[in-house]
Parts: sequence; C-alpha cells; structure tokens
Amino acid sequence: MSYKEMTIWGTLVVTIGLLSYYMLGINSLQAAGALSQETMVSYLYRVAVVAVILEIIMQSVLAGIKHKEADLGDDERDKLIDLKSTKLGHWFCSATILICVFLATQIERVSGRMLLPEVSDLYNIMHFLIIGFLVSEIITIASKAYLYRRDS
Amino acid sequence: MTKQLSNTIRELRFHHNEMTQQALAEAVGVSRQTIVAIEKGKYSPSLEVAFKIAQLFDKKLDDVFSYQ
Repeated sequence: MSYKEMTIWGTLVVTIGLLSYYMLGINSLQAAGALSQETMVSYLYRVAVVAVILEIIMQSVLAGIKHKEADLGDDERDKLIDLKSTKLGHWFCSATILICVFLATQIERVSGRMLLPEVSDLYNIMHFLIIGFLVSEIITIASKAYLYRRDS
Repeated sequence: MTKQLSNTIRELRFHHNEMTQQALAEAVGVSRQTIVAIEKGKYSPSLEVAFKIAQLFDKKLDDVFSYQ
C-alpha cells in the first residue's frame, strides 16, 4: 500500500474516532446531567486538541515508515481523486449548512425541541454543524480511499 | 459499443530491459500507482503524460495508446 493510501486510511480512522469521541463525550455529559454551554465548549476544545495531536502522530509515524514516498508531491491522478472526493464532501457540507440556515430561520418553532435541550439553540446549531462537518470529512476521505482502491 | 483507451506500456517496458513501473513513474514524473492504473486501463493519463511515455519509449502516441 502506498504512502498516500496509508495516510488516507489513517486519516479516516482518526476522523471516525474523533466523531465517536465527540458524540460519546456529549452523550455521557448529557447522561450525567453535566451538560452546559461551558462544559460543551471545554469538551470541544479537548476534541480539537486530540484531533491535532492524533494527526501529528499519524503523519509522523507514516512519514517515518515511508519517508521516501512522503517527500513526493501529488501527481495528476492524485489531484483528480482529490477533486472528485472533495466535491462529494463539499455537497454534504453545503447541505448541512443549508439545513442550519433553515433551522435558524425557524428558530422560534424548533426552540427547546432540538437534540440538546440543556444548551441554547445557538449551541444546538453549532453541535449540528460540527457533526455535519465531521461527516462530510468522513465522506471525502472514504471516497478517496474507494477511488484509490478501485483504480489500483 | 463503448470505446476504451488501451495501451501497450507493459509490452514496451518489457522490451526496454524490463523497465520497472517505478523507473517509468520516475521518468515521467508520476507515482508508481498511477502507472499501474494507466497500464490496467483504469486511469486515462493527461496528454502531457501520454506524450512523455511515448517519447520515453521513442514511439508515436498512436503506438502506445489506442482508442477502440
């Protein structure tokens, strides 16, 4: 397996892990009755720090294993795969944003009936945006992994 | 019937002292995986890469790639 593919699979695992970590964390805070805007924000910072650390570790380990390939840039096929995958992820991300805009316009109707009643509507929309962003990242990376596998 | 792009790269590599995919990839400036995909007909290269491959084997483009 090439360095590029290994990086993609690694990033996919990290991103799925982050989404699970975020969802499980918020759910356990909610179950413990400790969910508030402050705990949510501090948990979000923790997730961001974990994301950066995991990505650095993964990239360093892979670059160490395949240091020769790590120095090579993207060729035309890599760029094409990147373009196709990003387009797919962008579509999902745009859909999430549009849903959030719709929710914002209907805020009086949906207020108090969202996923996290413990926090304000603004935080609920933020929660929805974070999930949408991570899912769109997963779609992008998974489609890259699929396109690399299909053509190899 | 749909037409497909096929090529003779594998054969040409064999006749050029069994040139490896890695060596060809380095010569034309793409990754080995891209050469694998081109050889299998799963990826159609750009004109630039196609010409580079043909020139490397000292062949015309038509001798390397065919669309039928």
